[in-house]
Amino acid sequence: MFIQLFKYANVSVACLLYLFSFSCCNATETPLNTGSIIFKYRIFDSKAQSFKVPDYNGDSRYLYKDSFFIGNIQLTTIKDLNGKEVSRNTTISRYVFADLRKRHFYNYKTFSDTASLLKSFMPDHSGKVDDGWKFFISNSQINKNDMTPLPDTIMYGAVYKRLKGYSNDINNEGVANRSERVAYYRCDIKGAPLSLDNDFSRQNGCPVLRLEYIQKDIHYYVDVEYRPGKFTPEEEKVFSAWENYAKEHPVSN
Amino acid sequence: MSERIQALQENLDFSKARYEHRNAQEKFAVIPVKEAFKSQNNRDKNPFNYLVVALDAQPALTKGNLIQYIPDRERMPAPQNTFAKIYNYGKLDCSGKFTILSVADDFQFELTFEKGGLKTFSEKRSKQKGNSGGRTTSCTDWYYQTWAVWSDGSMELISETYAFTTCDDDCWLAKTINGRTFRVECSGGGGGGNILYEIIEELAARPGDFIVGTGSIWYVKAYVSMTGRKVNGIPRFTGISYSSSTIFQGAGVNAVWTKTNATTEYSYSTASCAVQGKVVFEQGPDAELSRIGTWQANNVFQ
Repeated sequence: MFIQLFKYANVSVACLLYLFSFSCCNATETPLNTGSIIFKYRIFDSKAQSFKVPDYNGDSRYLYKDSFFIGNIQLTTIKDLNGKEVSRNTTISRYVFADLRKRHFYNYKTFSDTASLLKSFMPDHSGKVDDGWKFFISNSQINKNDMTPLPDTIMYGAVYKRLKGYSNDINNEGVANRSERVAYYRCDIKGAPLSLDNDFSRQNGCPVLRLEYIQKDIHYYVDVEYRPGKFTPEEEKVFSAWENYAKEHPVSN
Repeated sequence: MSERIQALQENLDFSKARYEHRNAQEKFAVIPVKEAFKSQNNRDKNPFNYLVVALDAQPALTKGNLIQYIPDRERMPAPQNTFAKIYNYGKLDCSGKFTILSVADDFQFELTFEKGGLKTFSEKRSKQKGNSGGRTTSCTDWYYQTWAVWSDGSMELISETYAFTTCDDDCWLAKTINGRTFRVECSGGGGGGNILYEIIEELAARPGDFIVGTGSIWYVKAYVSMTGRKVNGIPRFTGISYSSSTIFQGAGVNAVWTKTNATTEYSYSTASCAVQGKVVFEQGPDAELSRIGTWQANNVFQ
């Protein structure tokens, strides 16, 4: 019981801060300049009564500076013998450098200022980007009108507003399951390159940074954590090199 | 050269040697062995002994066995084309027992024919035994098994008799049990090298599946189909094919699996399927997956 209460402790904290946060969020907007983004999945482990990193969905770390972004694509390679896993290896198969203002993209093989360029490209007419980067497409997850506000909460030292709603999802067997969905969004930052619901962010100016799903025994969330801060010297070197290359080699249609 | 092989060589009766054509590319040289040669096998049954060697189109010797023939009734030598017919699964013009030995005179397996048709197949089979009695070596029990062969080619075990036990340090020693000389390679093989005759039992295709990747709230499963046959009772792969792959997922994930490549390969003993693809999520970038599922024939065709 204690652990269960702890799990939802953020709700209680949010209640205490509710009035305060309600007014504070719209007061100032901090422009994001430089830092990293941690993209993560967490699934609730009912035995341990805590969220854990799911298999094969380890955290990803991306970098941003103004409207420039560096991301990566993970490749998980597994070997089986007679149905049992005998080895597993996760590597980064390639990096992407994005100029989000110009919508120019560059794929690199390694994270190095001398890395070889694999290809440069632009999104298609719908805003879809190779490797599934969702900067521009419509990936609507929440409809404010169908959702109920929950008290604000504090995560990573910032105030998050929340909306709760329900949806019916159809699984592989064609069975519809009602699931609860909670969206967490911040209205104190602007220029966030990644949001879990671009439509909502554009309409409200607030990036959606966590989506939580609860259905029967499944409880998990997707989270985008912004960590403003300086790059390491190595990261700075790579970012500068790729930024310069992008400036000198704009992608043509 | 061992004494046994030398004795065999000295007693080959080339004056009565003959060819039997298995097919356009391969023929057998059938060389009777003089009665002066005394095999350790079937000593009390007065068998006809033949050295049967396979020759390809070159002609080059590809494999060979010492084969003993013990007729059912009248003691007459094996008729012309008997060995070619055995190899081609044909009906023989004689009935009796054929004991297939290595050229070093070690027992390989045995076939009995009734009214010209194959009736039984006998061989030695191993069963791993745990360490016991404080020994640090591992031991293997060997059994003499006889299989009935039915008209559709399927086989059924009809008898199993304990023959002997080998341990790490004595596996190379030949053992004579019930008139048969057995030798076991220390690697665990049957000993004796090239086998001339193969009993083939086609097996039904077996399905296989493996998880290509999973994120707890989703997983991708790939399906394969494996074909095989038993050759002298030992399962072998004859093929593997990729069938499909599907993503299964929990609420709200709405991910899409795209297979980019699937390849398969197999040898007699192992078959594998490599599947590559990506999972496209509603949020976040794609995840690339690559998984190789491998199966062993002994495991699949138990």
